[in-house]
Amino acid sequence: MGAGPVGPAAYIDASALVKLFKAEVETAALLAELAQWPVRVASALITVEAICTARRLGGKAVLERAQAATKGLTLIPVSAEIVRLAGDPHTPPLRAMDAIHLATALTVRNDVAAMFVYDGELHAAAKAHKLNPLAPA
Amino acid sequence: MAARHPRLGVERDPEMERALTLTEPLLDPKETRSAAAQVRALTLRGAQAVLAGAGESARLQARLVELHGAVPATGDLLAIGPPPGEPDPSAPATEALQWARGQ
Repeated sequence: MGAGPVGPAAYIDASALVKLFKAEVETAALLAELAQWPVRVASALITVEAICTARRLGGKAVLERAQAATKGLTLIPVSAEIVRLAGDPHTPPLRAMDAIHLATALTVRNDVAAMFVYDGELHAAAKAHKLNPLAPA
Repeated sequence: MAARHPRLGVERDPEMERALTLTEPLLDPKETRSAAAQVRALTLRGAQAVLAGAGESARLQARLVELHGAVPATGDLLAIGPPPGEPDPSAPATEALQWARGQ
């Protein structure tokens, strides 16, 4: 359709999303900051992480929150290009799922102006790649 | 000749007939060489018009779909509201995610 670049989105890592499942110290600040970003993007991987986390936490209400939360995200499929990018050496070294999130964020970086991430290593990697990592607290 | 892509059946009801009649003089002759071609042209032009009139968020989502095969959000993340209860300093959700990630 040839649409040009429009307003920025925010990338959401699972370390941020799960703070909406159970109240943690950073949850209120995270919700306030998320309100500034109407388009929220994540790797499709986050649906698995969200459901597994919710099931670990236990309870129907938490599971329903996790399902509703992922429906509020625009999901980027784990493409062959993202897998290739995730397999590149990273500094600092990343765990596999973090590498997929970073690669996904890098793939959509033209449309993403911030990355919500509380995981320390992924936050550092996002910063190194100038992805504007945010961890409101 | 067999079609390369799945076909879409569209009923030629009076509303559709009227739309085809009214728009035929306004389209390029290549776009009206058949009723199917005209429906296709109207669909593509209609999609552009819808996107042009859509809000910035909808256009950004459409761009992500086009460029990356994204699955657009079907709800509002913030509609789930804050989780119930007082903040738990032991970070149970973070701990559960670490379990889910095998850490």
